[in-house]
Amino acid sequence: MKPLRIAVTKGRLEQKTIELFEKMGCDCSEVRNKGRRLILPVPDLGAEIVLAKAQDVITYVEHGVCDIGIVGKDTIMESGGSFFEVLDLGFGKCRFAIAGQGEEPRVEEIKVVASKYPNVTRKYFESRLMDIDVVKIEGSVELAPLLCLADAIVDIVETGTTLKENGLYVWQSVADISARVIVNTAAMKLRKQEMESIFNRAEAVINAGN
Amino acid sequence: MKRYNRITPEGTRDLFSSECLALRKTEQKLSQLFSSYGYREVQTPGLEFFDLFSNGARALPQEEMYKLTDLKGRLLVLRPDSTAPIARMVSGKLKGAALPLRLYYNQTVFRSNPSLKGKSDELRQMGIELVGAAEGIADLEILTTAAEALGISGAGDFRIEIGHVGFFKAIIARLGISEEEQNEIRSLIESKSYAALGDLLAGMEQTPYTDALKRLPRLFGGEEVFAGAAELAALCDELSEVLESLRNLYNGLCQLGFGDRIIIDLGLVGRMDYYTSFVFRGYISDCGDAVLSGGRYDTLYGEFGLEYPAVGFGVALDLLVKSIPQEEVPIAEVLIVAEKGQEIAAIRLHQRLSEEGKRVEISTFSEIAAAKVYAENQGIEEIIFLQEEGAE
Repeated sequence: MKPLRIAVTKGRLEQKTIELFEKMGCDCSEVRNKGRRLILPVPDLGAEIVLAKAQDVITYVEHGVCDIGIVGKDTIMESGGSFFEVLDLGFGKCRFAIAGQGEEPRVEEIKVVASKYPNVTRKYFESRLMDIDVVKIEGSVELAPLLCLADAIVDIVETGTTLKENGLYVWQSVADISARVIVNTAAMKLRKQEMESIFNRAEAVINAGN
Repeated sequence: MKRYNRITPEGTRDLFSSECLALRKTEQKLSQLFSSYGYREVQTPGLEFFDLFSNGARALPQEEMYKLTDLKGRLLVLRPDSTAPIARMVSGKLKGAALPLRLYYNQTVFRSNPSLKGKSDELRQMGIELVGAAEGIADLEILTTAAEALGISGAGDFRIEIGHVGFFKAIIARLGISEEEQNEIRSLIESKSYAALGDLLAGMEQTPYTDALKRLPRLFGGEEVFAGAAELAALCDELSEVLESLRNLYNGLCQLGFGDRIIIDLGLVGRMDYYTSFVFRGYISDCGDAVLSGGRYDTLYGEFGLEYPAVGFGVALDLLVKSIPQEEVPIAEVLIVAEKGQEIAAIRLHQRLSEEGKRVEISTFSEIAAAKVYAENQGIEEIIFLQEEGAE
């Protein structure tokens, strides 16, 4: 049987995931000493880890070339797609929020919103029946209201320090975010036993940590 | 102005000979299978009125359909599905035909996918519709046909997954919650979002039914699912009946020798309004999507004014064909080379040889040297050279 392929979001979630796997009793030395390799074995899990950018994790899982993915809820909400979302790993916690200039929230007056997450933004304001214009910004979104391009931003907020230093205030929370385990729909059915044993071990570690 | 005259639109592509060959062979195998069960082929137009797909349970999201208008300004779509057009056909032109009707189709459907997702917008599908057959042996027959279809396709190991929408419907009906909340719960079960589902249900009044919903998405796998669901089934008659009918199908398939191919998922809740009873999907290895999907839809014909129960499935030919080992496209066995003046003789010889069942090509080169080079490049083994004096 081929090893399970687990796509892991590079960077912070990658570190947390390796810690989780190690707590599950898996030797992750290959992943820790990865060099420039992008596909790395974790023999104790009977799996290979594929390191990828967040959006690509979803793409690989959706197409079934990776069986499992570890990715933030923010990317799931922005990209969508069809897959199973089976586990909340509890790390990588933050939230989507609307922020703007001035301590007093003025959400009802918003006409233009800047965001790195245009789909999340559009969907949220649609659900509130507000017709707004969304401007997609690639870098520091905080600039948009300061330069008067937008009335507010929708962005990921962890501590709120960046916002504060630029005179922006959280007006409203949109959704909570944390790292999730996603699974290809066909693979879930065809390789149920292997997957469930991994998820049960992971859940045991997560619950022990709480 | 940029001209797009040398590329195809996103989501479409050309098929080469080897792909055509694999496609045709698979089509032939499936048509033979469907015919052997008494199904007859029908075709429906590539263009249909938008209205056929915009109302009721058969409605598709409008952003998934390719739309255009006819000369009177009415909205048309490129056929996005074959079941609704066949229901239209049966309720119109075939109204009054003796039941059950066994119809099969082999046609392309068009779906508009989001850009850059690597998904095809042009999907070749084959499927069967068994119209006017109530629950019973028809269900077992359909599932057997589905398993046989994947078996003979040559795509390797496969699984048929069965579920029943009655399970979810019976439980959710007892919660007394709004349609919006129902939809939210449904989508969480569909995506097996255990954690989010648990959180949502925790905020509601706790009953045995909220607990049942929480367990629903985890109830999938082999025969052990029945044991796991037994406790839920004891909650009410409706649930035990549903589980019983699913168990009967499962046992039947085991007796027919498909036991190790069948998996069960009580959390299969997609397209709830459309399916009324059991639902199923087919999976093959190394394919991230279901290659086959179907179920029973006893209320669809009601939208066309007929009380016909119906059951059927469709196969995604493109996915199936992709996983079949490709064969070499057969080349000609004989090359006829005709010297100037021998054209008539060459075509007559071709007629004679092809009647014998040989694959024969007539060379477009009249010089033997050029023809030999061509034959060697193509791998054609025999050359017949027609000269003034006759064949050499």
